[in-house]
Amino acid sequence: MTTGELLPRALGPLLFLVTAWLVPSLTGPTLPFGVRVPPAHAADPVIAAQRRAYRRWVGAAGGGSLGLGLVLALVAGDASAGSDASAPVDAPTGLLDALASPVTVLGPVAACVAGFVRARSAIRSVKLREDWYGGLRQAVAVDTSLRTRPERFPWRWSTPALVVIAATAVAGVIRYPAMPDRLPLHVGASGAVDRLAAKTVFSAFLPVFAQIGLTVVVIGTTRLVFRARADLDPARLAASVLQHRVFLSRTAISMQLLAAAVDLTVLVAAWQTWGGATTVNTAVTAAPALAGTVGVIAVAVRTGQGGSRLRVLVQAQPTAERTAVHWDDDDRWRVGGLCYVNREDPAVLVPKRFGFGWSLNFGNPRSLFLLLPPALLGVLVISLNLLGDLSC
Amino acid sequence: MILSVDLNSEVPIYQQIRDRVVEAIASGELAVGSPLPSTRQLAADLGINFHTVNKAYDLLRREGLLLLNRKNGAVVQRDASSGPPAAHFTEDWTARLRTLLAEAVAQGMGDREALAACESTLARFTVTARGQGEPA
Repeated sequence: MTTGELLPRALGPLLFLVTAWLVPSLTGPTLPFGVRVPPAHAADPVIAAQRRAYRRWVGAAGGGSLGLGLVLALVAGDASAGSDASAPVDAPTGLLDALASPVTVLGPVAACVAGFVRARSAIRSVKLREDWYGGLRQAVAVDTSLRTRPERFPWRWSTPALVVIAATAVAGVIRYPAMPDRLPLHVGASGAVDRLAAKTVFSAFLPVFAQIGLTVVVIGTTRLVFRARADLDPARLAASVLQHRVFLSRTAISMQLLAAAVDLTVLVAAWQTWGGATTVNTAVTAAPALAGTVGVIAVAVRTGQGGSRLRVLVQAQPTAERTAVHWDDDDRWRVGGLCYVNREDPAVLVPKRFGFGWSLNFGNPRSLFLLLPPALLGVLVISLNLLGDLSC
Repeated sequence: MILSVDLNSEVPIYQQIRDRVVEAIASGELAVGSPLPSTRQLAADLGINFHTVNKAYDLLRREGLLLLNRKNGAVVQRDASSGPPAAHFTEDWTARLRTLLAEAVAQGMGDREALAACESTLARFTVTARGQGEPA
């Protein structure tokens, strides 16, 4: 393994760590680490202290684990490069190589989960001990205009994805006569083609089908969550309604651009394999998808969950209407506060309390129907792979 | 309209929803023809059982304030500009007003104070209702 090969291996976990480091800033001040707190306690010292501790933990333990994994991979790579490629790899080197991937990938994930669980339980215990909700009027608020005059889905931002798909189809038609007799069905993570099939319309236009499937899933899901409910703050209603509207349209735009970016990655890969290449240039190919992902993260950071990071100018609410606070819904969030389970709630999609976007109500049987399309997609991908194996 | 439901209140949730809609009509925030979300939609947004919203909407329908539509949810059917109330309404309302004023008297609130409170509350409704509730 060379230093150049380390970069793609490090990129995923690195992006994960950066995102994990940013996540506590995405949710509003009354939802630190998925714990609901009243506005009067949003600036409590325990919250600031836990936020710092979490970030230290993510940086030190997560970053350290990633670094260690890369060093292991480098050492294992050097050792095997010194010996004959056909000779069996000696045990210590094999062990190093086997350890490198889990340490690089699972280490940062474990560090972030541990940091989150710690911060959440620390804040929760102070909240319960000091009875932060004692004597407060707890309310749930709705703005019916979000339904009677809903935000319009920004369909025109699907144009870039459609243009990329059309360009791929046209390029495929033009290059079809000159394509080699055997075409790749699948490209591995390293950029090497690992499965070939005879040239047919199906194998030649597989990239276009993949683009269409991917775009339909991404935009379809975005359209679905676009109608999910808002989590409004009764203490600052007008502001949170406005924030929610901007949050909706920005999320929809960034997800549609992400679909276009991933479609572009597919086009770049197809362009190379249609010419008979048996490996694709990973850096160039992955660049658009990576840029799209970074774009989504940037929009999330600028907007915040539910638009919590947006500054909106609204008239201050009369004090009489401000006395109620958002109800303490901690009990309905299980599994470390990440899964919403509420049988009495007819909603299927609810805004996440830690992170960006929406989560399923696992107490609602209809949520299972939403899990069906991704499951079907998985089955489709696996069966296509099997089909590829058989045709080889 | 903004609909805020107090979860710790002794007033049942369906009653709170009904009361907020009546107040929104009185203040001119809702006028004849104003749409409200369907019962299922409102229940999902509030995170409560859909029968609770159904009960509130049904109450409003029986009071002649709401027109329910299976497909498009609910529409406000009358407001301050729709003319005088039905005879049976005035009868019921006077009975409830009697109880409300009896509470004030029993708690030692003076006549003048009770009347002033009535006047200022009414003024808030009628001023805004005249401003926005007029049919276009």
